[in-house]
Amino acid sequence: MTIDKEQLISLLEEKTGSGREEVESQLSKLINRIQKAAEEGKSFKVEGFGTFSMEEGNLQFKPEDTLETEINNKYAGMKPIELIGAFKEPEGDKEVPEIDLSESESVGTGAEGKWTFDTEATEDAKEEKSKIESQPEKDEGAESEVEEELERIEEAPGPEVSDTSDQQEAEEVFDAVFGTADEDIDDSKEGESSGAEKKEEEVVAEEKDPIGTILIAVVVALVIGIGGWFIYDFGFSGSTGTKIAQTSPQPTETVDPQDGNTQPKEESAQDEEAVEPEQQSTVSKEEEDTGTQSNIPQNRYGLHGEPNQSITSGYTIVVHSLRDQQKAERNRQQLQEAGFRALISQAQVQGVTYYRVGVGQFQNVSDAQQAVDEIPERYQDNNFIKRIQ
Amino acid sequence: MAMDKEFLKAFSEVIREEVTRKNDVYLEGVGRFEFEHQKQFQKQYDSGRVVMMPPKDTITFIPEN
Repeated sequence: MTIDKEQLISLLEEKTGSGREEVESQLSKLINRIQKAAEEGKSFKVEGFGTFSMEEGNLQFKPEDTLETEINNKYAGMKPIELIGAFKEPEGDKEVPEIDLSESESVGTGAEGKWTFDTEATEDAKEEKSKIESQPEKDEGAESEVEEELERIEEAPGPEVSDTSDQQEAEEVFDAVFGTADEDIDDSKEGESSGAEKKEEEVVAEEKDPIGTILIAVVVALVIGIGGWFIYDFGFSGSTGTKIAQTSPQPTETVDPQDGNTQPKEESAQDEEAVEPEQQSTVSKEEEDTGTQSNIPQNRYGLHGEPNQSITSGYTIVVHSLRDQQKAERNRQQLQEAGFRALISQAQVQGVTYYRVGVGQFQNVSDAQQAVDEIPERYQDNNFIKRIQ
Repeated sequence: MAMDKEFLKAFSEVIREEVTRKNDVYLEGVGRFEFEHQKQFQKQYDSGRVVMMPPKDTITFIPEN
């Protein structure tokens, strides 16, 4: 809807309590002053509103910070969030690809998966500050916000960062084993129903051929771990690392770099569950894997159920940003009753506290982006993804 | 002749309120104020680092020709 001159005058009458003639007169003066300043190439400032100025022959308007903040109060204080793990190392002199805005504006579901992992993402932050690409937004403050965010990230790098070289190494081993040692995998399937059995197998192997069999055992352990990771990666379950942690702690960091939030208590619980299938040797390996992996991560991260209070990192989908705490709480309760994990976080924006109602707890942005399709329709085009802090 | 400060304050408030309601405000002889929503988007630095820029509501001005 467009407010035309007549409507504007009516609104101003209502706002000022003045008569129509007075408002018309004042409005005409204002318009004349703006036009006159424009003709003379000068700027004209309206206190608390903004500044009109001539730039390249066109009249421009720059809103004051207060006006910008008031209009943007819903999102005020939001800072860029680092997509940890979403990193692509430019090679040599290759041109850096431009951001596809159309894709990113659609919240780029799954876009994170296009990137590889690299720890150097956090180490190179200072260099990157000076290399910020030209911004598609007109927002000049955004870059400073980026810098603030980057500084924050530098101070407290997330636990989700992985090591590319280790991952590549693991993948190479994986490829090598799949290409040459199928029999070993079969053997491992029989023997992996418990950590204890695996240890026995390793001991026996050591007696036969100490170095070779240990190497094979380690490779088998890696294969199991990487296989689990692949299952996780294709969405068959939420998280891995259970088996890997049992047999070979080192690959845990390599294979699942994003699972840095696992609590010690849960690890021990997973260990216990992982041991249970020992008595059910007839159960296939895949059934065991999905059985052990599907339960725990669903409770840990997800869109539905009760919020997991132990989660201190990750992402949520914010659907309300309100100054009224009670209203925020009511909205949270409604969402919770509808079966969503609903949680409230606070944000201080220029001394004002905003209560942001988020749904879901997600390990990474990609998961959150996918979950946007599952939230109530009225929120699907009106939300933002925020880091849980 | 000086303009009334109260009027300027009311003018600012009216524009802000209407733009926040996603209404365009046409100021005859000057231009049009519009509400614009920028969705969140991914931004990549030339080092390869990627961040998600937050969404933003802004006021834009289209000058009258």
